[in-house]
Amino acid sequence: MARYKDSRPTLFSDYLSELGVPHTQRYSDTRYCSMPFKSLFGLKKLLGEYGVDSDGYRLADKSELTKITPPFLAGTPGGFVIVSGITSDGSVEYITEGVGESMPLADFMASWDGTVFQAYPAISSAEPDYKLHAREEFFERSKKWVLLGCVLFLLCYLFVSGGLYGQWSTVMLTLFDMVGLYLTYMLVQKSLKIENRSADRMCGVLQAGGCDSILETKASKFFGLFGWSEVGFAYFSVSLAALLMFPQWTCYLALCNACCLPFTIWSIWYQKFRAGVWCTLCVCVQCTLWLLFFCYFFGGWFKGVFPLRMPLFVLGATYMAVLLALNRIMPYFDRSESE
Amino acid sequence: MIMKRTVPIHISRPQLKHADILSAMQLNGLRFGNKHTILTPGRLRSASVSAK
Repeated sequence: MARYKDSRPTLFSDYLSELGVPHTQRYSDTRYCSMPFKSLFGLKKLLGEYGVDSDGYRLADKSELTKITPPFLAGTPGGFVIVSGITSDGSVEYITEGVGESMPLADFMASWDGTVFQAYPAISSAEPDYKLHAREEFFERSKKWVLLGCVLFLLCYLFVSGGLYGQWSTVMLTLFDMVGLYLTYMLVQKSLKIENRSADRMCGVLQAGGCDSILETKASKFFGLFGWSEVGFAYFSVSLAALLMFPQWTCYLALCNACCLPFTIWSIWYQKFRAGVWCTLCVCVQCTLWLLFFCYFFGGWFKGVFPLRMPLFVLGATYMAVLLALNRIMPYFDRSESE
Repeated sequence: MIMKRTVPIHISRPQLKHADILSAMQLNGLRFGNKHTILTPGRLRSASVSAK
């Protein structure tokens, strides 16, 4: 059975959560997506495996909706929703794709097609082998936090051992590189059509939908080969790593940063005069590049750039290698076809 | 908001006067779609208008 890989919970796991039936999202969503009958009949059979009895009803008199105890599934022309409550002030609270919504009872009754699916969990109802799956899910989730902890530890260690805390410019360079990395990470996610609510919120600041519009244009690709989001992500990741691990090369990082500045001018020009839309994340990246430049400049890091030495070329090769590696693996994360 | 309950809630069968219990065949006719559209109140209203 292929594992369900989307992190978004399905209607089934949301419904189980509302019913209070112990379950793990991964197992339950995998079972839901691999149902042989993708219908209420299939759902009834699946709920049976969890020890939950269920029935479907078609109400001839829609006013009887208020006699049904939430949570239950209600059919609409757009699909099923989970009705989680009917309030005393005449509102229906429902869940759709994990998002809570509310609408007046009269409006809901007009949208609802009269079908209801109700589950009746028993006190012993639970996912088959729940304890085993819960343990597996715990260790699976722990991997992310352990990784984060190790990265933070390494970051702090290198920051201190490299003496970067000793100068205001290197402290700010570290900070701005991290900001730039986060911004380009969100841009990469957007270009791969991976949902990120923080990115969506940020994109709405200057112009709603601006980021998506810009990322759809041909100009979002560097010579049609690399997305600018990939270029940015490679730049900030290598710059941050080089700053932390080889602080003696900071002058070459300054030179590379200066080479990026003409792109920032082109990007702003393109958004204003050609595309006519503003990409908030893109503008923030341009600002970050300029802030980095000011830190390099006022920190005196452009001294000692010449004569050019081998570390500069090593740095250049590293930027290129990371960009090419990213470009190679990005198609495996692209969700645009599966949407 | 999804309620994070840890114990199954007790739900009693409704006493409906004007309702039919759907058969297995009828339940199988009510299919789940593949789309992941968030059915906001506005979308629900327009979907029901289109259906009519």
